[in-house]
Amino acid sequence: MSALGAVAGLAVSLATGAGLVMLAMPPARVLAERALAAAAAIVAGIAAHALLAFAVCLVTGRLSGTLVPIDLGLAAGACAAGVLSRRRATARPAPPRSPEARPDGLGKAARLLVLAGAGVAAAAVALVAWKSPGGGWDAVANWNLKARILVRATEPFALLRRPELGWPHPDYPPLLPLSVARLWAFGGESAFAPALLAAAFAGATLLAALGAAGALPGGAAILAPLLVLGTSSWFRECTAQGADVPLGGLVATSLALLFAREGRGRGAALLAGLVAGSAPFLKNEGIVFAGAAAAAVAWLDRARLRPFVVGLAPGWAATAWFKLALAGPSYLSLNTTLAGALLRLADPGRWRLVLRAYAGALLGIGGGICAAAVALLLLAGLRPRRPAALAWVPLALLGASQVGIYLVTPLDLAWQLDASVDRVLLQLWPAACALLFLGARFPPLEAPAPGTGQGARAGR
Amino acid sequence: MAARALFLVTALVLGLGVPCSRLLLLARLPPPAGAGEARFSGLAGRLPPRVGYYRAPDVTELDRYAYLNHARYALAPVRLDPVLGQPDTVPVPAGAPPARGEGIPPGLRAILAEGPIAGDVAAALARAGFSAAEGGGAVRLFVREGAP
Repeated sequence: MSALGAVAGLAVSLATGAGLVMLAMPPARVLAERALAAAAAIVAGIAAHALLAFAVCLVTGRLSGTLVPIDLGLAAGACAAGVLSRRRATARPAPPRSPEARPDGLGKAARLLVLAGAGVAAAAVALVAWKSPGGGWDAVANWNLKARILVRATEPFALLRRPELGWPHPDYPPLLPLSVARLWAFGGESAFAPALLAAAFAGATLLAALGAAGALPGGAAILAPLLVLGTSSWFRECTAQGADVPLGGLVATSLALLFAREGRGRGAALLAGLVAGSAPFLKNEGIVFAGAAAAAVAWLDRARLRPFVVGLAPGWAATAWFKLALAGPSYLSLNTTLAGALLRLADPGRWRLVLRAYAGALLGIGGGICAAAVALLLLAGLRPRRPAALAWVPLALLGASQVGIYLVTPLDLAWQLDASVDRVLLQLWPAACALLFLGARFPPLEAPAPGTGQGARAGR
Repeated sequence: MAARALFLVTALVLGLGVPCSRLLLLARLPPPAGAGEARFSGLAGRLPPRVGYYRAPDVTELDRYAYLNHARYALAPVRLDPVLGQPDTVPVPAGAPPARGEGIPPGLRAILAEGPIAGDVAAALARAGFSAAEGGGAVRLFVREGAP
């Protein structure tokens, strides 16, 4: 019953996400567009319902069954608006598109491998949910613990500020606990619900990587989700029910909506804003990412800035409310002073330690298999395109914010680096994989497009 | 042809090799000690607001961290009240549990005990009116009459 309820809760958020996608984007016609639309529907739906659950929690004091009819109302409204918008859009003639080439045997094999790998990932998430109820270390100590408090306590946010519960970071934003608690509101508490949510975010990340890498027929786009799947640390974190894989999904999806299909329109910018604006409500690092993404949009195309900022607004407002009215102190400010933080920031030894840890973690990500795979693909004929520099800026600033936190942390630096560098890198990794293959050419996978008699062109 | 073969090998490693090896690794892992929900599902959400906390003397720091987090998770939002010593700082010496429950607040109706619980500890808790209600192995919950 609880599993069915959790599935129903997720389905409701997917319906909302689908409605938002129909409202904001034109119908998808090729594989990569469909993948991007599906990723956007998953993450935007989950984020929209987490924001709604936060509002309900603020009004009623706790999450309970009263959330269910409100959730259903949001999903019904979004679906109705989406369907009406699509009907209106189909009355207008669609712009001509070049036909999608069918993949040859090798392209089909690559797609099947991604599907099989995703199936294995789902099995691993289920296995961990069965073996370790509550998820990995951080999920037990932080994310799922807060979800339990949200559904059990009469004044959850007041309780979370109490010193007895100081360990689970009272300043960490609550999108993930709210999303888990929301699924529990549908079907009761279970270990299945957070595992289902983790699987949904992991699936959305793979779809976003495929969508972001572009719509090349049977071409290099499939390499992006393959590389993400082949990253053992990403795979491990998917099963841990933490917040880094979800944040990686939000980052990859919002960048894909902004950069993968230039000129996709204001609707996609609005959706990208909603997704990017949810990042600060999921993890503190998301604040830097959302701000940097807004700056990149302002630089790239001012016409898309307004819808993007409108999309950002709900997530930013919820984050501001949480930080100003509800959050407890951050571990960064406990047992330290501003002068102490500045001294640590100016310590060259700490810079050396942090940069060495990041370089090692980047080169060795996935146990070194990822670097070897990219080298082999280059040997097999992969031809990367000139990098879309602006798309890398939000990612680079997100990485810089992580480095900054390590530099000023009052905790033991070596311990903190050892415990978390490979995990927080996963916030960047799926989007980096997608951008690496964005518009790339890979002749072994390029089958002739129907009616053209020639190989598909990479340029877009 | 060589490029296609090279790609196929790479894709097999990325798409199936790594995921399957991780799955096999996870399948061989034992469940963590003190896994909260499985052991306390019957009492979840029905505990009194304050629960005593006892830590056995030979629990290591790492174990303590794991136990405490699992206990917090399992019992949330119940407040853990260290009645038999200061579990976060001072290890409880052997034989510390009072013979007749001295030091246990009269209103306290449940005690979460973590670590190998020696026979004399269990006997002392029993004399104070607590009986083991749920859990097992490394994490047990003792409940006094009148508690849910």
